[in-house]
Amino acid sequence: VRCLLLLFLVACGGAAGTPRTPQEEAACNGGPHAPGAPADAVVFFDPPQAAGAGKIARIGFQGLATVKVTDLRALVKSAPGTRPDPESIAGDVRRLWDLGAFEDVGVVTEPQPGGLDLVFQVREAHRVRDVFVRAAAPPQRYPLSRGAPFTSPVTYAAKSDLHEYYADRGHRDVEVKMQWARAAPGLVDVCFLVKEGPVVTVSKIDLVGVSPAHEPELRRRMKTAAGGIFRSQVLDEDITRLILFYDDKGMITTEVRAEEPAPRGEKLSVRVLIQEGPVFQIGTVAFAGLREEERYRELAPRPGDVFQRSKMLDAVGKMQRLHGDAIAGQMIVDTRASTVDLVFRSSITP
Amino acid sequence: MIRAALLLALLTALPAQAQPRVVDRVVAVVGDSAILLSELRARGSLSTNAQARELLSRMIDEELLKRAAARSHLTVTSDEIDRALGATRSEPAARAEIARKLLENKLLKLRRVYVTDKDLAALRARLGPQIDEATLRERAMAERLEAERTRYLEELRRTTFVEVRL
Repeated sequence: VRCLLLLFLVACGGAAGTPRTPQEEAACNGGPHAPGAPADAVVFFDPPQAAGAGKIARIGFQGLATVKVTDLRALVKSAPGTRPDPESIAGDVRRLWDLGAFEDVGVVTEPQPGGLDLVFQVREAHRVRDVFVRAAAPPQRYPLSRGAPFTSPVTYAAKSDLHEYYADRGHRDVEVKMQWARAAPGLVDVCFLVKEGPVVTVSKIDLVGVSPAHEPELRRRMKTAAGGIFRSQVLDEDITRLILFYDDKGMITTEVRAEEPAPRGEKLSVRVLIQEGPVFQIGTVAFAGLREEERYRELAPRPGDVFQRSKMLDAVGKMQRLHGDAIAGQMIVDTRASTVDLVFRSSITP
Repeated sequence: MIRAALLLALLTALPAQAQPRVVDRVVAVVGDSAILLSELRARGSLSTNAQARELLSRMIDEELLKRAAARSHLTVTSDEIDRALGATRSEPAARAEIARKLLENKLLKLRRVYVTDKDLAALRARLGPQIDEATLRERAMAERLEAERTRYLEELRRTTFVEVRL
């Protein structure tokens, strides 16, 4: 009976997984990569004009495989019969790049008997035919869509998105690798191989160096919690929140940093190292590069007040609304006297 | 001998093969944006490879900061540029440069940048006692901002696709 039960379980396990197609196998094993025949022929918009020396006789494309030259006509503003204008050609190159269909775009001129050939040399990006993700728990949404251009920036972004997706679910040590295979002319199948690693939870949080008076408030502000999933991005945001807490208490030289947690494991303890500094007060308040009517004294913090970053930013914001964005607040910190001198100035210094 | 002379005469008589001349091309990719050779040429001299690489690296940094500013919904208006320049008309290159500086200032203002008395003392020791207080503070702030800019760019380069195609 035990054997039968075991056999049943094994059989069910096998049936539950989707069988892998040869197409998926090829993509996930990374091959074949060989590109199609290079499209070396230059395809021109129109027959050449007798333009004359130094003028464009005809405009063409080299490297087109699936994109039709007629579809590109509207993007090219350079025209036969005119001299090549670098600014206009740069605009053409920019529009072709922004189309997202090419891995590379360049342009050359070639002298011909009747004038110049202006030839755009492009490398067409393959398109994504199918996407596979091999992971213990595949994501709800795949990082690449069918038909997307298969370019380095696009695949880099897809890998980053996938990494973020798993890291956000507590897989701190996730590894994402991409493989691909040429599926048909101009088309590739892409496979992301994900090693999730364990879901890492927080066993405890130590705030080392914090004064007892501040600890409850700091813990309240942190989104990372003992027993919860560890997310490094959330911990980074927590550190910023703690720094802002101290900045609003006038303790602007307080150092807050998270100790790098142990490299691997399912549980980790978070240690935040804090070196509290003294409370700073406002020293002097000055206005530089501003006319008398632009000195909004009533909005600025007053000398002797405890420095609060949020109040300072609020004052700058109000001044900017009155004056325009060209006012900036500058802080000069005197660590011996524990004072902050404020200077409100034009944000562009000549 | 005669044959060789004839061949040489023939070769020299043939018109030089007309070579294609590169007018423009993509020289770097930052995220999904391209930096063009024409843009690189417009920004300065490219007489040596090292110069070109240095200038391109600067342009990549600017593009990274521009993208970060866009993500933070920061923009620079034409009015702000006018105010900063103190004039409504100026060269497009000067306006572009000021726009870049304004945007970077806005971006760096979001970070914790301040000058301490220790910075001032170290700078005074470096520059000499004759430097006036206002200039000293100005320089110290500029140095702090530059250090913060460098740190921020390191972060951005780690998390953005950057490819140089010089």
